[in-house]
Amino acid sequence: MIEEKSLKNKLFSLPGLIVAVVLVAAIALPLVISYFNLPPYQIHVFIVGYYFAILASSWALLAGYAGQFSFAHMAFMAIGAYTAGILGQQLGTNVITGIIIGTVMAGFWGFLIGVLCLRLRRTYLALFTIAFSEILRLVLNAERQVTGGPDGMSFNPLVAGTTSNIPPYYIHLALLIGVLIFMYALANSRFGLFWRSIREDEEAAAAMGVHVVRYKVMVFVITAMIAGLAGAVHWHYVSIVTPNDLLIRQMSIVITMAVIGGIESLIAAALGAIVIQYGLEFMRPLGSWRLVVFGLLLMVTLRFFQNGLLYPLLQRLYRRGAEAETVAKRQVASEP
Amino acid sequence: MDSIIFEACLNNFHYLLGLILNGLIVGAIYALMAIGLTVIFSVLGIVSFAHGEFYMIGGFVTYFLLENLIDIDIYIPVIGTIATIAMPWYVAILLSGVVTFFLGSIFEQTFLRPMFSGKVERPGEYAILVTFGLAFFLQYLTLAIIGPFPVKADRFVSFDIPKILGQITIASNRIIAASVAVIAIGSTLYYLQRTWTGRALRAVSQDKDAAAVTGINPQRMNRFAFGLGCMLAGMAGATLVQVFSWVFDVGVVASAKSFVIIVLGGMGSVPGALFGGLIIGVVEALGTGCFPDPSRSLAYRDAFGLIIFALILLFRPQGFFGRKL
Amino acid sequence: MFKRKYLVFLLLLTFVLAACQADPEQVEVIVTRVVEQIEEMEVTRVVEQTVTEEVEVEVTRVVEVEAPVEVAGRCAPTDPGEVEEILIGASAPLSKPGSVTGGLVMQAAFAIAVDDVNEAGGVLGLPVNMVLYDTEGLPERGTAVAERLITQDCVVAIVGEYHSAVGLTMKEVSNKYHVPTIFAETYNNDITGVQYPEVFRIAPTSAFTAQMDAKWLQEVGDYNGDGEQTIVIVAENTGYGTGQVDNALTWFPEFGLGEPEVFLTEQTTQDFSSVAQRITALSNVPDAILIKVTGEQSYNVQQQLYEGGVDPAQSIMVANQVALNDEEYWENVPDGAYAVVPRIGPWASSASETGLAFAEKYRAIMGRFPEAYAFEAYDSLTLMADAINRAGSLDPDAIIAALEATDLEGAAGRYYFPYGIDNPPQDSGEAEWMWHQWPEVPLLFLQYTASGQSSDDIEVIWPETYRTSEGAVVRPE
Repeated sequence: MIEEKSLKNKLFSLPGLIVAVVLVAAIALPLVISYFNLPPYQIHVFIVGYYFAILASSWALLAGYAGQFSFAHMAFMAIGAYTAGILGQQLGTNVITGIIIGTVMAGFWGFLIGVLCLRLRRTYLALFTIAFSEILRLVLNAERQVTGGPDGMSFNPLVAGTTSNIPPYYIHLALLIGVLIFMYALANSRFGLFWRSIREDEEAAAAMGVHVVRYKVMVFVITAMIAGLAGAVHWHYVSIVTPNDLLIRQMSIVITMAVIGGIESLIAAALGAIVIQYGLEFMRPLGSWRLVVFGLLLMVTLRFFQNGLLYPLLQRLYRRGAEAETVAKRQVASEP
Repeated sequence: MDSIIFEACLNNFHYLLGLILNGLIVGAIYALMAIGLTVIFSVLGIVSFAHGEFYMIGGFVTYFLLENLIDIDIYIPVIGTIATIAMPWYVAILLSGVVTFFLGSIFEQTFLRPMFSGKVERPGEYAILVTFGLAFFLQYLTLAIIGPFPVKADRFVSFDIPKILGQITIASNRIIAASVAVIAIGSTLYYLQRTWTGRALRAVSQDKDAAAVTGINPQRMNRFAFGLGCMLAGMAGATLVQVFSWVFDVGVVASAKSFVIIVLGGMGSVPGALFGGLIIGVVEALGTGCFPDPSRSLAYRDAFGLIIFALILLFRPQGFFGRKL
Repeated sequence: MFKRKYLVFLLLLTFVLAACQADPEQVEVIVTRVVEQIEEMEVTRVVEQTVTEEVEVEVTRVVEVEAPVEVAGRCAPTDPGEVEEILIGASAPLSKPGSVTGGLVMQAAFAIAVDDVNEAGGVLGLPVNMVLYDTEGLPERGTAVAERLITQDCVVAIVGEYHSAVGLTMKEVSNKYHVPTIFAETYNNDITGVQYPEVFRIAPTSAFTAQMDAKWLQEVGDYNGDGEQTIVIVAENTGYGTGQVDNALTWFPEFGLGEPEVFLTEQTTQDFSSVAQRITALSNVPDAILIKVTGEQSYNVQQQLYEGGVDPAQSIMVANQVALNDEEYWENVPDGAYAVVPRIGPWASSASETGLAFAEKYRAIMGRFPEAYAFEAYDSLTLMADAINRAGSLDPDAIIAALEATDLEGAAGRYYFPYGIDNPPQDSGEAEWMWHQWPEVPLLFLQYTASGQSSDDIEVIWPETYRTSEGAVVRPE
């Protein structure tokens, strides 16, 4: 009896409702835009926002949950994208095959880097992963016959036969939701617990019987595959990728999105990405001042709002829901 | 067009010597930057990702001092005459050191101090991200204020160098820059070894709590060390603004070089940074000068350096000179 | 546990909704299109008909009346009577990793062009306005900017852009929404090579500049008199640098020059002293050193080559065209006397009246003679305004037809596009990228002949028609 009631409460609790409202809004967005004749450009902004949301939330899983501050996330993204692109251009494989192999390839490199980084922590890990992504960028720049070099590499269209933004929009949205559910499930399972224990104290976790090596490598592989998947899908949509897209500058944008959203919450990081992407786009007429604001915002958030700007908001809403739930439970319990 | 250069490396002694000399000169300046970073690391235990931006600011400060204050008119009330004094370049270098010192200290006090008072959950990661944010902020602030156009200071001193051994040419601005770097490195070493504050810094770097017991204020030492590190970077920039064209993102490469050097030399080791800088300077010069195929090797040159860097991180993270200030 | 199921359910819902939504969407687009056209064509026709009837009837009529093709999302006005001003979109890189210097120059030139067009009476009797966005030199931004210009700001045409990689994505958006576009400084062959009807270009291609280099070098011959003409190229490892190198390797031998010695540099390199040493140690002293590096890096290369012992009396230094910003050049390259500067676009002595008038206005703002891409940016906008005027409407097809028929004395020369929809270049045996490409980009070789010389006093050394010097190169005394 009590079980059922709390379930019902959960279903109609505030966070549940908010998730539902956000989802419905996201699904209805293109309809609204085309109904009111709003510019489809807005759809593009959201597509890019979803792409960054996947990257930021998977980076939050890696850095916020498992404590691995890697700067190689964009490099994994590029491995996915370039693998898919090279397959499509050189071997003429179809888009889906390219994306799948690209994802697997990113996972493979995630495995390698994960194994290599086992001993490295903090600054050493940051420096090593920066070096790795720079090496990758230089190689992509230099191997012009295969990658197109600095001119970039072209892709076959993501959805053949249409130039509309709407199919890519739903593909990106579905990908984001799928990835978030997958990561949410992982983070709330045993894995998430182990990752957090590694983050807090690696030695203690090992002493308690957590297989540190396995779980550390695993989180690298999983997040690298997610980044590779996002890269492979997104750059098919944009149609061209250049080595400049994996500059450390781009990585710092992903990190800032996650930090401002809230590094210890996957949803907050994803929301942070969408909000910032929209904000940067909105402030485009400001020129380079918007990046000044961006840098300052990162520093201030880190210093004064360590949980990010969005996460505390979400938490407050959640707590309100939880409060109502507790009250309801108590009432049930106090009934004779 | 066979691979003549490669042969020149083998059989032309003057050419080889020229490369090495040039490498040592550049290496001395690399070392100055890297010592700044290493002082910060050994005292605060963090790597500043904004190190290159202080280098950039140091260069711009010197440039503007020399360009805009080249003649200062001084009005002396009693005598009523006006004396015109040109801003000497060494004063400009010192002033940019002062400016970067204060900027660094202010940043340490506002953004890094909470790390050490337990107000930040994961201090190591916090430091990486917050200095990263600072780098981003300073770069784009400079771009927004100064603009993207390159500037360069006049040569501080211009003189003709007799060609050493008849063949080797080294420009006067590089010689001046290297000399300044050597003097700055020398004074820093002296300061760290012989003065009270220098010893206090080293004490804090070795054991914070023990140092605190002896009456050293670790917080003050943190601020001081960060300022000192930034000052060294700023002075390196100040000496190089007459050698390279200066733009807002000039520091990105400089910080990358410093990271490589301190990892090579062992994080936190001053002699390591010194020798690391010289080694990197010489290796780069030889790499560019001796590779057989210039079109391909130059494109990959940075990648080779990074691969070595990554390997050291993996297999000898303590570097080759061990830790200790 | 339940929460997870709940989320899975929502995911399924997403897919279902997405699937349901795909088809009706298309129908809807058609319907709105038709309704709009009714309003335009026949006011008397009443809207009382059922939707299906309308679809059938109206679609055939569209063909009869030849109403402009409507593309979903494109919101540019089709009737000049509806609007108060004509809006033209522009793009340029204004932040890194794009070339910020290039972007700022183009921004200034666009502003002058807008003023000039308005002073001359505007377009179709209306004032012209411009919206310019930053593309950061990133292809994805190119898509975003083009989408924003076309579907949010409702521009009737697009001009500009500096980076090839950005142009490559922008041209796709222009094609998708059928918006006439003139690219100013993007040289990649594929931009015009795909032969979209909407896409035009007025920048030179790498092949063209390499041929001009070769012709001039041929005339200079063995400069230092060691019996052999040795040419060295120092190029940056970017699309620009490698394009220059590839074309030099292809074209120099065709003009009887030896294969050049190539040094590729990474964009991040600052110290070129070892490159200098390597060049001075070459067994043959080079007769010419071509610096195919952009921006401040070209200053670094050039100055450090002098400092490293390259002697201008033995080797001609061919600088990047940024060297024509004399004040900046002498500050950054104090030893740079006797450097040769290839100049794309007109120079004071070769410019037309329009060109000189533009140069004067540009100098008032930027303090120097306009760069090549300033001319290109200015001309891309005035060309577009001219085409819209001649088209007499805002219909994209009419504008494209007018652009193809362009014959205009612009700031940089007389503009025309010999190949296009009715006579594609491949029919005349030309390369495919000659599509909508201005074939006659002017190119001069200039030379500083004294230290600290103003670029106003610079000598023109090639081609012969404009030459102010004694020969194809001036030797230091």
